[in-house]
Amino acid sequence: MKARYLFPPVFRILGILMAIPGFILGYFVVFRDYAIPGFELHLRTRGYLDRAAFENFTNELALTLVVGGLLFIAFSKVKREDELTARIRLNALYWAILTNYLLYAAWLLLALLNEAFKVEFLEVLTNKGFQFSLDNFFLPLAIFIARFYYLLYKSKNEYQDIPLHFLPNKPYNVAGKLLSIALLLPSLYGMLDLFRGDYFEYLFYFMPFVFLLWIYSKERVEDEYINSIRLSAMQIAVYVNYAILLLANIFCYGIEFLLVQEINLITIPLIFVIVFQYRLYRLSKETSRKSGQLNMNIL
Amino acid sequence: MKNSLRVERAIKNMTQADLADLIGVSRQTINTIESNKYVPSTILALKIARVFGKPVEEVFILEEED
Repeated sequence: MKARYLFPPVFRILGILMAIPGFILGYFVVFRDYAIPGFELHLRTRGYLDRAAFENFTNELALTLVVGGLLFIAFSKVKREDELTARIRLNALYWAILTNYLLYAAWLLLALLNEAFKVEFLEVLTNKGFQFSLDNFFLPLAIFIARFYYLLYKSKNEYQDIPLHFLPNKPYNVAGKLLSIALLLPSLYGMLDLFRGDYFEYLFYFMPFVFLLWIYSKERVEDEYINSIRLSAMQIAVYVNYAILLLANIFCYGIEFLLVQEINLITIPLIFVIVFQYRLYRLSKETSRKSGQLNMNIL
Repeated sequence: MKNSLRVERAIKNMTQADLADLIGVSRQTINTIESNKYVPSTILALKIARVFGKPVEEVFILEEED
């Protein structure tokens, strides 16, 4: 497994120099309502409900610094990059996405308990400053970085190559695929509240788990090569996800950005399954074409 | 799969770092292979065997359970 699509090692330092001020700035923006004076654009003469007259870019700056910085730390080459460090990196990434959604599951459970029983302690935990969609911007990256460097540096003399475990193909993979495809559109409709139903919007919050069934269970034939396609598809999914996020951060404001933030809950799994299944499809087409040629040659 | 990297290195009087430099991987990777925790790719196995001047089957040996 070769390391691909990575930044040169020096970007790690650049990443640290971006992420730390980003987090500090972000803290002041989120918890102290800080805005850099004058760091704004005059968008329109008067504001509306969902459109401010002035757009201040302090929060955009903080988010760009944090996400960009963490991306550089996460995806720059280590000093001596080889096939094992590349493999550990991708394993750690796959592991981190799962862990991220397990944390989300715990958060969702607390939020639902709060919804049902209105516990004050839970209210604080699930609403103020702990909004998961907000954390979700950098949590997958942060978990990944922690996991990757832990596996590399836990022992001075060797790396920890811990294999990933997948659920069996039947029934999990089949169920995951069917449910994901069947529920994707209804859940998006529900999130946008197009049905005007009371509880339908909740469906969207459970979509990540349906996708997880698909992503964390074996394909019908799962071997070393399929596994490497899987891991690199996850890397691409994470890249595309954050590219979209950074672009949206610059070009979408107000309600538009809130929407991006919501959809962000499922973008990594969604992009992953698209990339992964497309590559499997291309592989099977290539193989059938080649074996067809081979048969012709025998004849 | 087991391997005889340690023995072969001793014969050539080579440290893990020497071998790592010769084939362009990190010292930790050599150590992880030697302690049977990582199965290297075919390319890496061939490179290692070439350093020792032996066929790859003499350096990497399949076991019953593989």
